[in-house]
Amino acid sequence: MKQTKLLIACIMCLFAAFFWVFPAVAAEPPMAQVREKADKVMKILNDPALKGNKEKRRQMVTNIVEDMIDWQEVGRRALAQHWRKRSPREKEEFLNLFRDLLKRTYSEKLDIYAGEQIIYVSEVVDGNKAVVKTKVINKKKEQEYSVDYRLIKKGEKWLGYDVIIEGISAVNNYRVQFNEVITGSSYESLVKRMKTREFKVKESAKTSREEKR
Amino acid sequence: MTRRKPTTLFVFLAMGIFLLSVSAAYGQGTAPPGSTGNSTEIKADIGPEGKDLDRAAQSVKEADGEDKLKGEAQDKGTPVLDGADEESEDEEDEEFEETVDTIADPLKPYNRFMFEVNDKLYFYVMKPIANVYKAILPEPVRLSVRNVLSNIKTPVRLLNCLLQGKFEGAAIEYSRFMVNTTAGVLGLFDVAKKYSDLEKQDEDFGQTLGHYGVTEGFYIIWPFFGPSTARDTVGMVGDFFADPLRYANFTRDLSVAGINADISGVTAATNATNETSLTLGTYEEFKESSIDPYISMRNAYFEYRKNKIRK
Repeated sequence: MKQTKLLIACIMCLFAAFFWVFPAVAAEPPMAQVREKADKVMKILNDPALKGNKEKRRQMVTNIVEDMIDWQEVGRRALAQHWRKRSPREKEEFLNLFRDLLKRTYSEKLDIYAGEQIIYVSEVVDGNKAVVKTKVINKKKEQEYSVDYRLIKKGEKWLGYDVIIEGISAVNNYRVQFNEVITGSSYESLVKRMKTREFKVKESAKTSREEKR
Repeated sequence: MTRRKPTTLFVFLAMGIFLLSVSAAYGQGTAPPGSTGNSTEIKADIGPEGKDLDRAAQSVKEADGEDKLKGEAQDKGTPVLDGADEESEDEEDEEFEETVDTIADPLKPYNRFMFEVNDKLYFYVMKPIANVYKAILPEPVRLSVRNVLSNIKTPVRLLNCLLQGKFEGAAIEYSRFMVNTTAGVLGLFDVAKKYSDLEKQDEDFGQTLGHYGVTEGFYIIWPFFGPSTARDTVGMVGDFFADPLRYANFTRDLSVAGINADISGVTAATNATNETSLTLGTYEEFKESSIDPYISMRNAYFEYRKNKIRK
């Protein structure tokens, strides 16, 4: 008798937990998702054990951030009207080059992390799009700037497709650059430029690392 | 030299005025904005939340503006990768797409050349000087130099707040000046922000002109000063005349061996060196991240100023 009572109680609890947890998972707001990932990144950046190993730190952060981004959306928006003229193979090549460029530049910024803090200001959801507004504060340098994330809903997940720093949209900025190169010369020269840039940066990173030794 | 004897009285007076202005700024009965500007500005004055919502809604709209591209792609029958969402093409969105990141650049050949000149100036002049400066002065000192110079420029920001009808901003600037000049030891420390959360109101004449609907005109890069537009150049001249240091008659006291140093010129040079020393590496990073640095900077300048005027 006592056992069945306990069992029923357990089942009730399970149900309660199910109903309580499930909707929460299904409708996780974009800000919570951004915050969860950002907290993970901050934890890595603030880990004193990882401070000496910048290469490993970069890799760990990149692994977290990579899944949060809709790379295809980013690439398509950056190429804008030139996107539809590209063949699937060209698209794939472009996406890879662009992804590398972005990953490299943003992971390099991690090296100069100096105790910045994130403040979550607001979130606005409009259909399958959302904007999460944050502020990044550098107490030591007495600096503060606004960082907004634009997200798109894919399934149950919100994926980032643009970041806006002090009103400057990263995707817009690249779009104008790409457009300039393509209309000024050609798409091929853009790809060439992206490839040589990659090569150049890799070389300079190598030499600067060697200099430091 | 005339000397003010009743210093304590002055401090008390300043404190009194500060308290008054703070209460005026945060009191419920703040006077309605006298600005005859556009409707968005009036909306923005309702309060911080209203402003935030307003701007947030705008950004969502902006984000949607880009959807036009997707729509276009679908029209042309190209497979769209995520395909699912079909959003209506608003004419408003189309307009937005037209206006985004376009800025007239009739002086492009000159501008590209000047971009290179400033690039070389940075690497061969500003950076080496800033590196020496940085080695001599520790960061807290350099931050204080920044604070002092910024404190002296208060009249420029205050005037532009008033011109735009931002009376709360003007009150904040006034309070900041009073607190930082006294408690902050002649502006060395930004105590107004640290303890009272009074943010610097970054307003200039270029923004005032923009506030009243003056468009950018065209893009122009000045040697030393960097990127600007026709409107912001006019604004720069306005700020130059509003600079209190221009009217300070220190030249006589600063003359060394018969050479009269221009105080506003000296502060401008100090400011440039100081700022460079505090932001070393940023420009290099920017260059590395871009495919066409000239275009990237032009777009960034344009968007940054647009955002500032919206605020």
